[in-house]
Amino acid sequence: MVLAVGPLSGVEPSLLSRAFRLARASTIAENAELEIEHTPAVVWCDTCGVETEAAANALSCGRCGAWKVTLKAGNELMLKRVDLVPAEEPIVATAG
Amino acid sequence: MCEHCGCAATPNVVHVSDAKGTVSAKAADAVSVELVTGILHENDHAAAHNREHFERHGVLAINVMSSPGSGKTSLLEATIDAIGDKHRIAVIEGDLETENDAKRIRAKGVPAVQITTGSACHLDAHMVHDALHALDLDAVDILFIENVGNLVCPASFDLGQHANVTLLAVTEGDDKPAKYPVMFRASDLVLLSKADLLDVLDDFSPDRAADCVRALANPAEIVPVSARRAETLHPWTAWLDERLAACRNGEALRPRNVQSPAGLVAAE
Repeated sequence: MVLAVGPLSGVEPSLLSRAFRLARASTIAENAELEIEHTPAVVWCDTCGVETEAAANALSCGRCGAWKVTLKAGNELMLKRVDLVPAEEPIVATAG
Repeated sequence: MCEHCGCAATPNVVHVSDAKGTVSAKAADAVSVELVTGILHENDHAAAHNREHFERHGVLAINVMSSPGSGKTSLLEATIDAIGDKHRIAVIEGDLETENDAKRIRAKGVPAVQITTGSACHLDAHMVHDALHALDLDAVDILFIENVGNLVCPASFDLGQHANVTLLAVTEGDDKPAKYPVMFRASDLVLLSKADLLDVLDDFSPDRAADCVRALANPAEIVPVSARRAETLHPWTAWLDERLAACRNGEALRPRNVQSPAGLVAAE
């Protein structure tokens, strides 16, 4: 599974990875791998029209410093892709 | 060896790169399914359902957030005193334990539903939906949802509210917005609570707090209020009146973090 996680999503990728390892144990997905893409915060400046990367708590334009910017990326918490690998043996789901 | 990055990939593993040039490993016989789905979809769906309920009944829903002890319940008590004869108010209270806050609100003659979350540090849309069963929305103009006192997790969960109001008490640090950017970026209004103490506190600068909020690209108004000084509440109650009128006018009010929700930005 490939996730995109931005610094303004409210989710800490390293903790999510650790929780995923616990959540997948003894389930049909116990061999599932989690891959997290760390997307940077990107802002578009309403004044100078330039896109720059920014820190989560300093979103002003990286070029002119104006604070009136539009967040283009950085708040995503998104499932982007799953890669499904054929099982060598049929998997039988068990209740519970 | 893998051609992409030189790693020691096993024969049944290949590396693929997406449109952005990000390289990732996958099994050679894997089938990729491209998805662009917000992880919080289940909550967002329930929140949209709550919002439909509110709008059908002409109810303005306000999510009130802050750290513990910033004065959310005191502000709501003072707000009921200020506008309770003009608007029909109801409150959903979120706390880990106790019915204390709901009792304080009920003592003002206003219906209140207490959600005790146990160990959970925030309210989510499903909890609010369950609480709505205990309220007659036809008898409500403004519903305040007092979230669990916490500047972290509540910012990530849409409840179906029309606006987020965050309290920053002047007894806290004026740089809190820089420390908790997700919360203060999501705020439609920031209330500097306990503002009657500003005279005796020389280390809280409202200007510095405002600068921190602007650094989050947030144009939200920043208003000093004191639950102990009814005359300071006017800008806050006027803000509520404006939103209630807009809500009644059929305007689709959405909090800032729902206007650009997590998971949808990259999909544009």
